[in-house]
Amino acid sequence: MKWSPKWTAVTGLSLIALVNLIVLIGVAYNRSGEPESRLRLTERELSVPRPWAFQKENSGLSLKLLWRVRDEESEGRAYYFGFVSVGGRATWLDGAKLKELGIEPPSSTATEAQKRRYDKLGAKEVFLALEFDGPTYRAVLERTRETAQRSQNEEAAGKAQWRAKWLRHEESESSRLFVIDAGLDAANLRAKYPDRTRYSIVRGRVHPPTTRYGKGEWGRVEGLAIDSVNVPLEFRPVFEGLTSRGYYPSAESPAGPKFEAAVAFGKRLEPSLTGATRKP
Amino acid sequence: MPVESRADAQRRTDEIRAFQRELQDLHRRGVLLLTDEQTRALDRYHGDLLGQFAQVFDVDTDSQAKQLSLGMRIASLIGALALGASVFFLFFQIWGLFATPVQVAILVLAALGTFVATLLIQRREGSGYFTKLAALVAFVCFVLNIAMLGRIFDVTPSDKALIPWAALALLLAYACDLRLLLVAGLLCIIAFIGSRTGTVGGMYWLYFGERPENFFPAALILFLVPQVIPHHRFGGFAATFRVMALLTLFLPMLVLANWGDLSYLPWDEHILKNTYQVLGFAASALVAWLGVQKGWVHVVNTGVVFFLIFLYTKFFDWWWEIMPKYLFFLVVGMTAVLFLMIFRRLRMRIA
Repeated sequence: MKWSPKWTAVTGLSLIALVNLIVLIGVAYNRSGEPESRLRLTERELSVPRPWAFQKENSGLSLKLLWRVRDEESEGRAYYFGFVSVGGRATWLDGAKLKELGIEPPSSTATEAQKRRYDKLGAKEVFLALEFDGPTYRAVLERTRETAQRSQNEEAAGKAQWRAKWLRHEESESSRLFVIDAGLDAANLRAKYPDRTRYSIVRGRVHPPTTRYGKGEWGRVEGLAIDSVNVPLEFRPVFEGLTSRGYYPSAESPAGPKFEAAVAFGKRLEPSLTGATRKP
Repeated sequence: MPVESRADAQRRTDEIRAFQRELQDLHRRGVLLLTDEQTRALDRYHGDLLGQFAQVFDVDTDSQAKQLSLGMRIASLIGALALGASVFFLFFQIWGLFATPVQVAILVLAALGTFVATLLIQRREGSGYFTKLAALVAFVCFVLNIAMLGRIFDVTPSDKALIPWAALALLLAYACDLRLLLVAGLLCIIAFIGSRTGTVGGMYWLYFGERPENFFPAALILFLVPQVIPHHRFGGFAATFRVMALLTLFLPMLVLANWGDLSYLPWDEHILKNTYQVLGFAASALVAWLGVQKGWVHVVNTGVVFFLIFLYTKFFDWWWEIMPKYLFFLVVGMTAVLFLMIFRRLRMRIA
């Protein structure tokens, strides 16, 4: 059979139509029925991304999920991930958890070659448990309060002021969304955290720690597979005037509207914005 | 000999023109004298053929037309890339103004419409310049279509998107005889094979570029394709496959020869760098030799260029710091002269 222009047309049009159909069926499946979890996030957990080269020409709006990892060493400071891909480590991502995730840390008697092989392991795709406004946030808040209180009594005035500012930031501005656990099975993680309005299971990546520079204890959460949520046209008015957030406490309260947004994670653990309202 | 593509027609036209010039010269020197009847028959035969080629394939019938064609090819390439970028930024500028169903409709219709437009333009135009513009825009629209659907509906990024992108690019490349689209399709295939190799190696698929060895299987596969599937009908396609394969082999090798730590292998970085330097020299020399044996000029050139790059980066490592700059460049220049002498002897031996 000789290949004719007619066959080219049929093949190309079918290819485009079929691929679109597959993507849209996947989307419909993800959003069908009751969502796997639904979080009611606020301006503390959702922000417009930092402006980049062509951002000003982008008429669309996606909100970045501001997620955090608790770091015991940071004295309660809020390490944000996703904005920057480096930073503190997750203390729960220790040797036992890494083994559970199929990452075998080198033993103390490991050879240089074995250590190098381990250091070359890249990020691993896993399921992550996101906790919203739960015990982890309250523990971090409590610790920040204690640090602020202690510094008020003991430390220099400038440092104490900074701690107080940090506490205000933690109480009313910083994100309450924490990555608290990881696993290879989404169902097991869900069984561990059954509250679907406080805990979401999402896809993401963890990175094993390096054996170099003596930092071989805790791994880090590298990112979420999807770390932003598209804002459909009908919800755009709610977010008018929203600006990008910084990582640290600012001198003034953050500008922009206060809002509550319902983010549903569907059957494929992909998020979508299902509702948004302005708050006074 | 059947003429099925513009490349075939152009080659036949060039052969006829060369034959006509040689015949005139032989006639002037009195070596070959044809009768008037024979000359008329020959002129008529060649005239018909050239007329057909010009009408059907829009070939260049003389050297001036060829020079103009080169300019048109460059303009068409730049135009195609610029139009592709324009479509991308246009959508970026307006997509937020529409409700989700309209966004989806625009994306799907743009992909379908530009594909149909490309086929219509191809039917009307033999030269392929405007077809190339339209085909690249159609490809960009399809890439944008799938990428933006992912963004609108927050779909998990996947390397599987590279398969339909490659399929459409290759369909347009083979249907419209366009090497630019072939390159686009091959880049998608290289990225897909690279990401799958990375996944097998335990990496997150999007980070496959962090380990240059991920590209080696793609290089091997692309190099073998024109050996297994004949590409006679498509001018320059086999060469494009081989050159892309060699770039996919040598560029990662060059990176590893300078930053050995990026390798999968758990060896000392110094050993890795030296290993890839030696492999780079050996592979580029082998490729140049293979090119000479098979008569593949593009393979010889690619092999030689990378051999020199490997050599000069080594010179830089060894001597840039310790040598006076005049001496460093003198050594580089003398090496080039040495290579010229070697190649001249090689060429004489082949001749």
